[in-house]
Amino acid sequence: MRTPIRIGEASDHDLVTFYINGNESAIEELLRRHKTKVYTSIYLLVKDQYLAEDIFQDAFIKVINTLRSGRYNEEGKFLPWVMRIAHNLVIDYFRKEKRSPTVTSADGTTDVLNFIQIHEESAEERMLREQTHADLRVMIHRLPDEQKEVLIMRHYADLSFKEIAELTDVSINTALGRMRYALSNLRKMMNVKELSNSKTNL
Amino acid sequence: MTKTSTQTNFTEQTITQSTIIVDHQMNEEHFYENIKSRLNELKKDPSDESIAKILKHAQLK
Repeated sequence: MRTPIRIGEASDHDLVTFYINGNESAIEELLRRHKTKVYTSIYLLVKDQYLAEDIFQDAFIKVINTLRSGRYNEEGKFLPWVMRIAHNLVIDYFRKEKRSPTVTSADGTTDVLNFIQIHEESAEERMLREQTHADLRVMIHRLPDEQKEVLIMRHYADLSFKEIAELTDVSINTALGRMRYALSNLRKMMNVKELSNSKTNL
Repeated sequence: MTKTSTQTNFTEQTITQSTIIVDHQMNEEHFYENIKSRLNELKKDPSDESIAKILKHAQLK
């Protein structure tokens, strides 16, 4: 007699095994658990909603193909493995496009969408919040690539510094140092922004 | 004599630098705690369409 499988309580490792053994709902649970972490990380790296959607889909399709082919290495954890695949796809994209992932200008497409939403809702508070989000996104994008990567992987993908170090092929101390520099630079940019806002309000 | 003085200065300088580094790290950690909620506001989910495409691909025959 089979023991009922509680998908929601199973570990990532168990879900992978369930999927390989024919339980389709296991992959749905893995997606539910990790979609925000993976998608937000991709989106903040590429800064384009539609491109982020494509890379997100490609990453999980690769994940599924690898699981089905039996090539999944069970030594590592599931999320860092998915993040490695997504990270490589982002790098491939920028290599193909021959452009730097450091984009300091605002995301035109998103801003247009935000603009329409703001007018539909006519909410001043929402406009202010959207502007704050846009400012923060620009600040993250102004960080040097290696600092931005660590910040995104640590905060949004929830990876440990050990996992980030392995993924980016640096020592743990280097990853920690990059995070500190990222925060330091972010703080400087926020101070400058606050100063400029206070001058505008005078 | 001079050597001792230099060593003392070096030790003091090292202690001061270490204190500055520790202060700096604590400031950054404090700053990170303060901005976590702001960073969290940037979290986004993929579209339902993307999820549907992936799940369709994941169907086992």
